[in-house]
Amino acid sequence: MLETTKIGRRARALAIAATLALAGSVRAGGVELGGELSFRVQSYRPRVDSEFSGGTGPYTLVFGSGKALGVRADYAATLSGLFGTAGLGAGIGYIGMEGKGLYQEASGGEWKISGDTTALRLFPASLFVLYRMDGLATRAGIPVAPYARVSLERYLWIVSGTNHASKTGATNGYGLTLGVALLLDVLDPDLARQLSEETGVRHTCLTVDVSKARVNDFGSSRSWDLSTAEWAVSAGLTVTF
Amino acid sequence: MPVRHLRLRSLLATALAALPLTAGANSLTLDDDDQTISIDECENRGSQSIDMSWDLSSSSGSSIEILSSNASGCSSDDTTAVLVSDLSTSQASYPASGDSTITLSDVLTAAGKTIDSCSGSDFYVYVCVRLLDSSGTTVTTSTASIRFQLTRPPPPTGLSVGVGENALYVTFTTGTTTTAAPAASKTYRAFASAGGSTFQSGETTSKSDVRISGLENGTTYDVWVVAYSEAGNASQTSEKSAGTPQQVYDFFELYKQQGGVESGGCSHGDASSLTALLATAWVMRRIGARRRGRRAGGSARTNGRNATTAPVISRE
Repeated sequence: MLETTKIGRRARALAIAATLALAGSVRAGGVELGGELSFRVQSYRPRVDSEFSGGTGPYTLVFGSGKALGVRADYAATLSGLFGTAGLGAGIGYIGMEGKGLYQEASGGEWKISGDTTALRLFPASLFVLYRMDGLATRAGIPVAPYARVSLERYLWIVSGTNHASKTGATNGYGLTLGVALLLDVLDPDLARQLSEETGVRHTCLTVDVSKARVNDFGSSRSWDLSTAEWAVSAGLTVTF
Repeated sequence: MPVRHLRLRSLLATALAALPLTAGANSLTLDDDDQTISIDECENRGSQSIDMSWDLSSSSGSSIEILSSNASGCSSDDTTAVLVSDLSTSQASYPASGDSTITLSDVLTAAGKTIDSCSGSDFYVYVCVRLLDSSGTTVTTSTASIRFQLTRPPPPTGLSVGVGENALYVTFTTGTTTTAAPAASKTYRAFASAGGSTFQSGETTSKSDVRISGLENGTTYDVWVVAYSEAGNASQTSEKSAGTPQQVYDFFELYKQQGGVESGGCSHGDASSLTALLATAWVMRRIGARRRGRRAGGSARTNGRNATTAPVISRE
């Protein structure tokens, strides 16, 4: 029992030390415990059609060859240090695609577009770790902070159609995001200070990033592929407090 | 900036000053469906009642009477007759309990309108409520108009019929008004008929993808559309088109039909993904507990256990 407790303590100490090392040096200037909220608009196109070889796949037939737009909101608990901010968080989003159902011509079997609507709605939930290199912005006044986020993803999905029962499911995966944050408070430090004093918002950032997600139940042969077909681009706003 | 404030203040003061006058003005209001009369309602004018309410509270008098006229204001120079007299000034609507009904026929007769058939050009008649003093002199009169719309809209044109599952979708354009059909089209209804049964869509203002449901897949239906004017006068039927409802595949059905492996429900991966998600949630919960502990008293001890030495953490 004693041994187990010791191991637990060591593991915990190691985890904290690693997080602090990532965020910066405690001795060099201390760390700040905080949180941040992010809102993003994201482009998305799933790789559902990769399952089908030859011809046009069902996703393209119904929803076309374009990309859908979705929104995501994340919250992360953060540790900010000399070089940057490390965080652990969770998020949820919504991406909706609407198209027309298809019917088969009696003569020839050609697929035709019907008047009935059908939709694929995704609610991507994620748990993630992030690191943002904002030390340059806070200490050298350079208002740009590159960041990275590694996430576990669970996409809840609903397919619906006119006069059809909805089909629901969930598909798991993981993702990587690389982006750049533009720290707005560096552009107007007085306003940022006032905002911090009055609302507790320490920093406000505009963000632009690209994401690659592998969402196919980790390669399961019984799952469809909701991975991003290409790098998904997103832009948004992050506030830290 | 101060100039703008002054202007805004001045505007606000003007608006507030005008408010009591607007709120206190005398008025007469007819029920919505009594304001515009269709050909059908005109033809059944003997059974079409007129309901109204008024507010004459900004004036004082002894009694109220209801009149109908061919001119707004119901003055004695116009063709005007009293429909109801000696109403109490406390009454604010008609008919109230115990009142007899005023019909469209009564209104037309009082206004001197003798229409043999409900066709021809549109026209107006007017209904008034008049407040009288004890000597029978008019104190104030409020007027409302009734529009008899006796013209029809043109039939819709350019029908195209789309396929749905047990349904058809109709898209069309508004017909061009003519001297024979000068009324503006306001709403539309699509119809489908086969084997002696006729189905119809709901009445809609939309001109695209108007849905007729309840049909049988594989049966060919004659389809047409009718336009309606503001009063509800129906146009001639449009030219007919044909359509056959079919089985429609929604996205998931199409995916499965093409051989897709997904079957819905929970994910199909091994337990590692779920374990990883739960582990991350647990770590977050621990961090939250530590933060709460520090806020409460600076100690990270929870559940009676000794915590490891916490790092020095500052917070702005």
